[in-house]
Amino acid sequence: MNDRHELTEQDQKLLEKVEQILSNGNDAERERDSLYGFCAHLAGTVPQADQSFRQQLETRLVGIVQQRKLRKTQSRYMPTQTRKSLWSWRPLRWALTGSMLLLLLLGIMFAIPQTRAVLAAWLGFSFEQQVELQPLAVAVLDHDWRSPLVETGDQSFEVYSVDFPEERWTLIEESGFSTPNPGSRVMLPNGGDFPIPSYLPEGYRWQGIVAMEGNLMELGFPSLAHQSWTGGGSPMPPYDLRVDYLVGGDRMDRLLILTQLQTEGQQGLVFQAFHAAETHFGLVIQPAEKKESEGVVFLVGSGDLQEVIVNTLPAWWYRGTWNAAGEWVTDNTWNNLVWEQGGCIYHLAGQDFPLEELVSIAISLPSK
Amino acid sequence: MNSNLALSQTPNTYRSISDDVVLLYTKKTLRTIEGKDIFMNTNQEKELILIAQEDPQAFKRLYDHYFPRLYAYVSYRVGRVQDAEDLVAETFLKAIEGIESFRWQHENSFAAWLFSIARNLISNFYRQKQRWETVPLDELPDLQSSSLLPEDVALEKEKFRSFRRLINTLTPRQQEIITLKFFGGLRNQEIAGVLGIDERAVSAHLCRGLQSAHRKYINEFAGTEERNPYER
Repeated sequence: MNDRHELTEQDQKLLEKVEQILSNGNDAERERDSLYGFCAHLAGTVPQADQSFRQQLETRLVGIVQQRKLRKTQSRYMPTQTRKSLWSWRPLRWALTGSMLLLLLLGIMFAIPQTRAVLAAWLGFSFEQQVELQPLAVAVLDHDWRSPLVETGDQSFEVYSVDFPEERWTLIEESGFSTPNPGSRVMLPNGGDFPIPSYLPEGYRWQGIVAMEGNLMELGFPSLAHQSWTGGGSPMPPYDLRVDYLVGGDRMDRLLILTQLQTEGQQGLVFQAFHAAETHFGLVIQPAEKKESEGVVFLVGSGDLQEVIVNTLPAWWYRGTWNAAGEWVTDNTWNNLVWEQGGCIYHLAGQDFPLEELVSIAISLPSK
Repeated sequence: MNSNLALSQTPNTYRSISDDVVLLYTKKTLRTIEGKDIFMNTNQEKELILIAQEDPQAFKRLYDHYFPRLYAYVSYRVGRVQDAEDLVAETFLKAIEGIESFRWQHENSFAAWLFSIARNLISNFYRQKQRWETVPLDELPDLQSSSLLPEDVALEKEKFRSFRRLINTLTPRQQEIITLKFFGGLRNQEIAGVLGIDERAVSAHLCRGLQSAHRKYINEFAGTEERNPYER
């Protein structure tokens, strides 16, 4: 027996007392400060349902049972000979069984990513998983780039990188990441594919773009795993987890994941800013919203801001980022490149990458 | 009447007379005991579960038996009345859907099955919610012992909230076991079935949890002039 589960004499007595309290509601044990008194008090805090709710639910459930009873009665009195003769007609039986087996086989083949593309090609059509990239910003903030973000109260985001050895990628694949499964396609708001840079700084390799609607805790990501809803730790602000973007990795197989969060009462997703101590680089694409009077409004920081050219288009380069409180942080290791292209705003950001590297990555992005 | 159908007059028997008779059960009248706590022995419950798939009266009896316990358990876990009502309703709806496929295994299996449904729904609820929150007093459930006086009701709710906060400082397993025991009214064996662990582990976690909660309770109020919210 496991030593941790050994029960002492005191434990045995406690168990007996608990049973006694729960069965008798032992008021005598309610003296202050004793363990048994504590148990008796605890047992005295049993929540009770509103009677109207109890009654309404009962009516609803009993109605379901009555309907079921009715259906079964009708089914029971169905002429048994008819049922028997239909099923006993051998060609029909064979045809139905064969169809079901075929459907089952096709279902299994479609469910397995490795056989899905092959089967689709064999059947003469392309099977392509399309995930529409959720807009990272509902509206580009009407923001004076010389000052830090103002509207931060209801915005939530989390950017983090994790050490994630390659051998554990199977966990990601099994749990619903759309890449690196073949045939996946992540669409931009303008209908184009998510551009994958053909150039990356030395030591880095592209590890996919992911739009995942799921629970990161289930995947074992430590950043959220410590958030205990059972009472421990500091709770995260409330949010509905919506989209995660896996945007890159480095030679140590560390991934950068930008998690876009939607808080309660918040209208749509709002991209606030990058903020992470160990982030390497990332690319975020969001729809560009044009204002008649101003054209496209960019959200850029104020650190050493300068205009550069990317793919013959004007772009802006700056240093620094915003912290979790929405305050501007002068961080010279954090470089950003922002430009508008094909109806989308591209934001390439990374730590310790000089301007030339960012421009090289940007130029290597396919335009369509 | 279809000649293939026949009713057995032998009480408590369930069998197929022929291939054409899907289900045959006796028309035995079920005794309904009015009152808060309805005692059911193993055979009665087994019988009820079989009949409850189609018999509203039988289902009602199961409902009466389990509703107060399930509601108390869920309320303790989620706090807010509205959330508890949603989850309890969903639990019973899922139970109705699944009761046909439920297979009696031993005397604790139905309670374990039912509370497992609730437990999973609560887990999903918190997974979506991603946080623990303090529930306002007026959104907490009434207690069974609540008097009609508003000030007493408020005190009871405050007491409930304080205990709930205390329980939620324990380990997740201890929380589960204490709430299943004290509010779900499950036996240790049934709790073991819900959590998929050994019964002795349940007993050990229960003892450690209660001792730990009690210590925290003492530490919180020992040597202070603050009124102990657990006392009325």
